[in-house]
Amino acid sequence: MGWALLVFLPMGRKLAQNIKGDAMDRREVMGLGLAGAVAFATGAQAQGADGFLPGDSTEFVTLWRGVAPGGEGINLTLKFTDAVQPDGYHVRSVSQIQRPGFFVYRPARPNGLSLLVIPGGGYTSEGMDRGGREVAQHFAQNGITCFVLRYRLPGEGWKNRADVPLQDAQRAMRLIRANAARYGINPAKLSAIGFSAGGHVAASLATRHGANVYAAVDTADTQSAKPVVTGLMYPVVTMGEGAHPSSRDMTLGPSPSPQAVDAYSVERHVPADTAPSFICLAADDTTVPPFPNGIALFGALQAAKIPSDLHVFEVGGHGFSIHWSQGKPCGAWPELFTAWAATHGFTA
Amino acid sequence: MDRRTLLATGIAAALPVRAFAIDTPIEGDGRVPSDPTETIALWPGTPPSGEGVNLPAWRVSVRTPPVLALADRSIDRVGRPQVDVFRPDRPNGAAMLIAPGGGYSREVFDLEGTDIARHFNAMGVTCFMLRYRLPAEGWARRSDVPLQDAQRAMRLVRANAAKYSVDPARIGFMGFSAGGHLACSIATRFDAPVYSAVDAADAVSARPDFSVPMYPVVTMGEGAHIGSRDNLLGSGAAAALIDAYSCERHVHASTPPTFLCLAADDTVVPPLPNAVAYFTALRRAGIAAEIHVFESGGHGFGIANTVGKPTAPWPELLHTFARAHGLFT
Repeated sequence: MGWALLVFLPMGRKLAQNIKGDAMDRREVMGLGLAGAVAFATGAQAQGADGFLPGDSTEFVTLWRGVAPGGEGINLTLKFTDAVQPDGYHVRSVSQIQRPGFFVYRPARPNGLSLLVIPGGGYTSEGMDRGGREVAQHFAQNGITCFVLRYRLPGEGWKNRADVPLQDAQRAMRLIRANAARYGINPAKLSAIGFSAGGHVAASLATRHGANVYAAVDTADTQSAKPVVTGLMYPVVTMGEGAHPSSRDMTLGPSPSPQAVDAYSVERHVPADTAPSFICLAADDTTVPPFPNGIALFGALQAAKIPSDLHVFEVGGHGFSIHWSQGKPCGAWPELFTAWAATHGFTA
Repeated sequence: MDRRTLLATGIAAALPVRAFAIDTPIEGDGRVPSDPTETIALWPGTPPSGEGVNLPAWRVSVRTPPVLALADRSIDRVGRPQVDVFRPDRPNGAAMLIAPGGGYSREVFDLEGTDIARHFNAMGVTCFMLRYRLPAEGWARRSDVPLQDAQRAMRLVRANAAKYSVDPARIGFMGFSAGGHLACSIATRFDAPVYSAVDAADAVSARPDFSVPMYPVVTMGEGAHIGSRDNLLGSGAAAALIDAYSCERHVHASTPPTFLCLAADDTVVPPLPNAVAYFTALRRAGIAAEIHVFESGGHGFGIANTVGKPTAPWPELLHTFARAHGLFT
């Protein structure tokens, strides 16, 4: 594709990761990490040594007190990978996530609605802007408070690797609801939207919001993790035939058992309390094939009588998010999503 | 109670649209002042397969309660198929043939005809509303009668493109419900020899440049809309006949780009064995295709029944699809 790739490891971030507590914001990160950040590389300084780009939220909330579930002995340092496209659009992704959390995007005029935004990256990394910041900014313009999830990647050494993203997604939903007043949102109007592998996380949340995947940490864990509605954008769905290879390998490891493949193929497990779902993808997606993934899930949702919307645009490829859908027919997706979501009470 | 009273009291908008709808035949031709006067008779004499068929002038029925502000008429007894021409104020060269639905037993030509034509007229599209023959009204080769008319209409429009200010390479075919079966039929069988050439127009291609099946009847097999199937094929059709008229089984490399739209809660024509199966066949054949399955909308929403609902953007979605293909401007 001719993208310029640039990888760097911010030393300052590691210091910041040792901060205890539920919340830290960029000022704390910057304050504690400044010396290391300045020391490590002036070349990457322009992109923000702490991994932030201009416009990124500076309000970050960590999910777990201390070690995340199944994380004993794990010691990861955040790694950022940048890609600059020919049109100059800058894309940053992140991996080696030890301390998952969410970035808060507060609208100028909040209307009480909120959205957990789950970026993709094949479970090997996560987009920060693509499927993340740019989505949050788009919906925040409409008054929706957005929380961009930074979830742990299943292939980075965790116990119960396959459940690690869902642990984080459930915990994020619960923390947001438990702290609704702090965010100025209505806890009964929290939805979720996921992109690509983040679509697998979101679809898992829609179907397994009540699954017992971690031991309760505090009173926040008495909250429901069920989204009002779920947006599934070009989602990874199946772990069987037609699976996205890296998402499957990261989730299940090499040579998974048929039972593991079955258990994490979302289209095979659609219970009656699944959240209403909106599926949108492009027919020319060659990365995550539409039929065994998004379209198969739509068929399963229909069979289970779960309210669902399906939009398959002819053109858009994989990962069109906001930026790559501009000027194309698939650019209609955010409005289709909000109009549909409103019919399920996701309305101010 | 007249329509004005209904609208004034808001009852019309509140009633479920099709559940209690009754089509009542009326005397006369049912014309309203806004109907176009420009029409195209499809066949110079007796239509093909028409020997011995003697249908009087078509019968017009009016639906009560009507859908919103439409006259909401339907026709049957179509002995003389024709096209009604809807010219836009500012034609931009794009054209669309429109086939209303009605289970192949009638044609709901306001909700799925005149109202659609006017909407696309406003986008500069010249529209041609097809009043096609109904297969169960006595025709020989009953199953091919709608396709005969659709092919002939495409050819006449294309052969006379200049007269209608139409680009002969930008003609779409849109059909609703059973009319959607006709849209899929002409998309897959545009060159099937279903009638003997009548004049020079029949040398022209009948292939639509794009295809728009709306909540279409597609299959005649498992999951078929029973009324459409029995009207088209007769009751107790043999497997070979069912296969031949199940459009999802006949998609090929020359099938035109296709835009499909329907609602998941359509209990009249089930989505999965019809539109979704057709979309699957299109993609398998590598045809450019788009599908929108709205959660709610039911069957037969046209445009009038989408106001204020999530289905409302479908004409705009179609517009952007067609524009991306250079078919609309």
